[in-house]
Amino acid sequence: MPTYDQITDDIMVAMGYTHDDSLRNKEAVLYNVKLGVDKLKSQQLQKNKEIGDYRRNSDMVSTFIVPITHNDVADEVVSDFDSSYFDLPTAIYSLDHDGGVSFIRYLRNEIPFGCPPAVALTPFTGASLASIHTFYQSAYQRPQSKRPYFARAKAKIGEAYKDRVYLFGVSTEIKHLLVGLYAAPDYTEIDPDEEIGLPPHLLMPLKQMVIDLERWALQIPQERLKNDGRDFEPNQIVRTERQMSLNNPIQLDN
Amino acid sequence: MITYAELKEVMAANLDAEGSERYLDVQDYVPAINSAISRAMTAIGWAIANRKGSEEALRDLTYVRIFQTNSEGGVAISSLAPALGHSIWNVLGVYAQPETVPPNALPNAQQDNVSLYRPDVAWSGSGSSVERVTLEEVPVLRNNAFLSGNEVLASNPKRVTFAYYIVGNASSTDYNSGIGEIRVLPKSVTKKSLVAISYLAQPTELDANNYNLPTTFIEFPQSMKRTLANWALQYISWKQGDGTNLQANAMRDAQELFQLTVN
Repeated sequence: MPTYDQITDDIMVAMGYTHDDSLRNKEAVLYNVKLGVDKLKSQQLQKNKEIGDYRRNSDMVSTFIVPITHNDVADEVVSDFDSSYFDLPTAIYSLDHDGGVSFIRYLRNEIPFGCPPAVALTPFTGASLASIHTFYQSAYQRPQSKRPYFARAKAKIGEAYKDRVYLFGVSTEIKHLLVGLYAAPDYTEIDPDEEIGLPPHLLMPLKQMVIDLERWALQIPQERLKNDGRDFEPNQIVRTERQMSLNNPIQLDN
Repeated sequence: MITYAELKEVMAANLDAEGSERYLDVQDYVPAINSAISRAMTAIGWAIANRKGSEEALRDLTYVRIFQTNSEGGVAISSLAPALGHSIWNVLGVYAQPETVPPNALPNAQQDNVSLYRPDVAWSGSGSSVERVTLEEVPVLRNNAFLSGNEVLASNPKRVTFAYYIVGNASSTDYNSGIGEIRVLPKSVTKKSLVAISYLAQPTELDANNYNLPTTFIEFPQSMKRTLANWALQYISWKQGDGTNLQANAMRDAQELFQLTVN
């Protein structure tokens, strides 16, 4: 499977960006590659969710061990309301029903061999902060250690927003959790040598998407010599984005 | 390379002055040839700026040297001319983090404001490309990950991009970094590091003392002999007064060659 670097290099050559003063540099193209990869991956995830074939998404799941914070208003530093939570270690795809979170389990590495592993035990049920009260009002659904829930929300910490996962029914003795995520890496954190993680049959649509984005960038009128931005010359033809068939693989869940 | 005698021979034939003393070496030929060299430098500088230059044609003037930047990521190339043994005419390219001979050469301990020519280190090739930007672009690119030389990706060794700009003279009384300074971005990576610079050296200027020495050469290829002669003839022909056949012919010829060079 090609890496981000290989896809980017291919398109750099295809577009003629082979000199250091090319209009678009490698980082700009890499960003478009990431956009294409994210689009195709989210299509894949959504489609396989709809047809119920989760195993086709298996190679896109990344597992993490995350530390839990048990926040108490009695703490010296109050950064959030009284709750247990962890912050997502990476950005994830936004899918139906918090589908970007594949699973959450207790981290239990001391289970004797032959017993069900931790990942096969005690699933965390997805909820939302707005609906979690309904579970507390039901004796049979009330959150507890054997029936934990999670709900996502943004938490503003200082000037930054954290992608926070709040936990309900989790004992304060629990310090870490095992989570599986459909990770969408941040642009600045992409490792160019990392494989893009798409099935081979989606490489062609990916290349087409990125070249389309690059073509579009090149069709933007050139900078005027006044350095005040971009503008049209008199009578310059206004180019529009390429029309695309509804049957184009880019438009479909592949 | 072209010698003075070769160029004079071509010019004298056009002037019909073979064996004549109507045109004298120091008084006529040398200044005209110097003017032609100057004009060639202007034309070639323009051609290089438009990526039309021929590396082959300028091989005798082309150098790649390793330099050590100061604390601002700068190299004062004009100040370093005595160490290099020649002045720098035109920077062809800059390479950050170059491969070197010996490998893994390190910067020497120096004061913050000092940039150095490193004669003990040779260029082994590659390194990272460094895009040329203008002074106005420097603040624009600083926090823009999509422009080369930004600081956003500087801490990621696999993603860092480089740019250089000519700051000229940015010295103060407390920080004298020299003249003709070029600076390589992002500064957080390039400060006090080794960079390779490919450049054209200033061609030798003829004068009364060196023009006829066997060691004096005009560092352009033989293929440019006719062009240089035409331009030199144009300057000589000015003395004959406007409107002479020689002046018009030489100018037309030179202009055609110039067009060929830059288009």
